[in-house]
Amino acid sequence: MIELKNVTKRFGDKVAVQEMNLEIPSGSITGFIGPNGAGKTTTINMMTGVLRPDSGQILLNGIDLEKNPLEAKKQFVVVPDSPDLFLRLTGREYCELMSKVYEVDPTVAQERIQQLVEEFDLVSAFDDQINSYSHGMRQKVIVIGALVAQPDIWFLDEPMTGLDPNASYLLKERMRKQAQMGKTVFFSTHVLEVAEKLCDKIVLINKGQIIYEGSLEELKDRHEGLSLEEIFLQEINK
Amino acid sequence: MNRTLLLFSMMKKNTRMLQQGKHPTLRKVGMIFLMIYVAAVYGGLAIMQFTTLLSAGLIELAISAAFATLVVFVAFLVVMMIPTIFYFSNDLKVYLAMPFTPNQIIGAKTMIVAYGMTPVIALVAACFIISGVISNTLGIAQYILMTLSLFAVGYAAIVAVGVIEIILMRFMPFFRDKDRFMLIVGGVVSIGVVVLMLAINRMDFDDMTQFSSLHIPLEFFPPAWASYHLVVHPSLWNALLVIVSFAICFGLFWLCAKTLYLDIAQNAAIHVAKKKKAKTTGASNASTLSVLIKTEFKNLLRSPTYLMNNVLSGFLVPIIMMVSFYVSFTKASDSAINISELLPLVLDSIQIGEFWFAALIGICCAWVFTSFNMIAATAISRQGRNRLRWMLSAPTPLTMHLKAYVYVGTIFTLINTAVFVVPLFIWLKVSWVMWLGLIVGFVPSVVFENVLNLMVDCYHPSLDWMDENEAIKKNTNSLIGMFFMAVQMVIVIVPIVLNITPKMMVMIALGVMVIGCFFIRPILNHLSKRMMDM
Ligand SMILES: Nc1ncnc2c1ncn2[C@@H]1O[C@H](COP(=O)(O)OP(=O)(O)OP(=O)(O)O)[C@@H](O)[C@H]1O
Ligand SMILES: [Mg+2]
Repeated sequence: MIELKNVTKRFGDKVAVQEMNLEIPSGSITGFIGPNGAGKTTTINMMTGVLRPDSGQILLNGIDLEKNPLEAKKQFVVVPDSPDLFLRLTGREYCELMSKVYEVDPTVAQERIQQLVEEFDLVSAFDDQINSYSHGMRQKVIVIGALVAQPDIWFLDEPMTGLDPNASYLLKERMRKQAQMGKTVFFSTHVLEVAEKLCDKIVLINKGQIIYEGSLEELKDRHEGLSLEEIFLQEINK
Repeated sequence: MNRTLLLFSMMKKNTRMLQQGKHPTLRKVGMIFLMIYVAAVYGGLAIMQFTTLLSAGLIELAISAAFATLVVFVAFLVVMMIPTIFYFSNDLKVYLAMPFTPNQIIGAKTMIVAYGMTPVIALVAACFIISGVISNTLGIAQYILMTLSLFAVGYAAIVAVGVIEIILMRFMPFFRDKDRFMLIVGGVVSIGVVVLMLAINRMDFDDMTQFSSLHIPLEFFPPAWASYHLVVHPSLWNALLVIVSFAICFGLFWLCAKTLYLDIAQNAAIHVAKKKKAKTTGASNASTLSVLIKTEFKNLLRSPTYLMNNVLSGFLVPIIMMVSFYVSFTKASDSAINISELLPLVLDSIQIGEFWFAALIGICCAWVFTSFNMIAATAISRQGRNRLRWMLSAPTPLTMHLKAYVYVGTIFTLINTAVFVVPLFIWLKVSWVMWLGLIVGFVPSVVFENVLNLMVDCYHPSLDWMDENEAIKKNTNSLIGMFFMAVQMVIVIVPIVLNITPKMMVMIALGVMVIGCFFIRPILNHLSKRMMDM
């Protein structure tokens, strides 16, 4: 459960996110869609405590991020938009670091890591430095690190970028599974087809403001006979 | 040529500092200050050397010294710069995809290196001219000839290093891995610096004949050798020699660049993944803090840039200090002072007793080595923007991350100090009171000084860098750290030397450090609050 109340963020004169009110329910996958520079990453950064909003309130599972940051941060894990994070660590070391930081029981963490690495087909490179990975491999390691932590809320900023069909299928499966377990999944994307297949709910954002919030079916009903792409373009250019 | 210049200006803009900090002007002022500082230190040494020779009437030696200094200096500086710009920079693929010929790319890259080295060459030339004016020994023609040939020799030296490295990269695939190359060449350069320092240290400045060894670098490098002869004995024959040697040098470079460079550069980015056997470490019960410390250790030791600048250079300084101490005192021992008399002599002149004297050494070591290894002063900058975001979103208190950096800085400073002090103390056969004093002085100072340096970096870290080199080199925070160190040293040392309540001064300094340590928790809390706003 994520709640945003009147959240605003400015960069100098530029308003990146304006008076945003949003409620993301648990047990569902929510897609966050908008053109480049719309404010998606900024919003996710605020939700994860990386940026402090200029005004407004953010609650994660009912915990105020501003007042009780540590408790709030234990609720979630984030897959950032750039996987270039701990390039000098090996994949294994990164995952172990994540399990420590998110206080996962060491034996449980080992099991999870083992299983995920095999599943994501990263066994042979797992003990090399992340430096030597391809973009997609880096993305995989970050995803594995997040799954090892397995918190209540999962933020993903354009997670499919660079993943091969197999890995992106696996990731989607994992996202579904998390939602079925009653957890909250919130991810940003540009790929409308992914949103269509995966999301229980979508949030459209443009120029820092939410322009649509609800199910994709409802949006389709509003625009009879148009393709997803056309609907998207119409909504953005309203 | 026009397109080469266009490409050159593109590259130049690309290497410019990213100006996203909150205080770009402050940073700029800092950089300028740093440059002036470095130029003053090295320039001062060079002027001293040249003036000594010139006023002794040894003009030929002074000229050869100028050429030798220039060649050695330029070679040391470009040996890392050329591969970085030619092979390991990731902009090559961008330029290759643009409508530029390989020749234009190579030309522009060479110009970048030359552009970067021009201030250094100009510095050497300026030093020589200043020395000439001071000693009033040279004619106007000599100034002009000398300036021109210093510049020509400087550029030729760049090109010569380029030839060697292009050949090395072509025929020794071993070096094509960036990390490996930087580590090996960095190591060789460091050893070279140590050897050079020792050689200078051993030189007896009263015995001018020793300076004839300055000819050695010239004999390895024909353009410098020919230029030296032309300046000393201007003649048509010598001029011809100069022209031929430069033509060969630049021609060789052109040839190598044309035939050996591009294929390799295009493939240099390929990473050779090391095959290590998977180590399933099993579940460990280490605490989060110790995992964070270990992570930072790996960060420092595995990145060649950090290894060179923060770890190895941190060892270089104490080793050089130790060795030069040893050399100068063993030399002195067979003439005037005996080693065993040295310590009582020093203690006698500074009347603060063994304990407080050792405490003072401990305090000074903590200050000096903390600012020299720059580990705390670049701790946040080294993480970069992405990892700062990770730190901010992770459910561990920021103070724990900061604490981890303080620990890492403290541990390295401790090792640096041990490298210097332990052999010295054993060699001087000091009493246990001094060992105790050392520890009492060192421990609180090293902790507090690391917190202080970290604080500087927390206030304005340089987070937006393209590679690790930028994180360290374009960072004024280490400079501010050194400035702090210098101020503290002056405040404490000057009264002691002037014998104004010396014992009191040491006690006050130590007291401040100890009291500072009690404020570490609030300081770290304050810093973590500040970092939330970045
Ligand atoms: N650090 C910053 N300083 C100044 N402006 C910023 C900063 N970060 C973001 N912005 C501005 O805020 C706006 C929103 O950016 P944001 O990164 O959130 O977009 P996005 O929706 O994630 O775009 P994309 O799809 O390209 O990832 C942009 O106009 C951008 O210029
Ligand atoms: Mg984004």
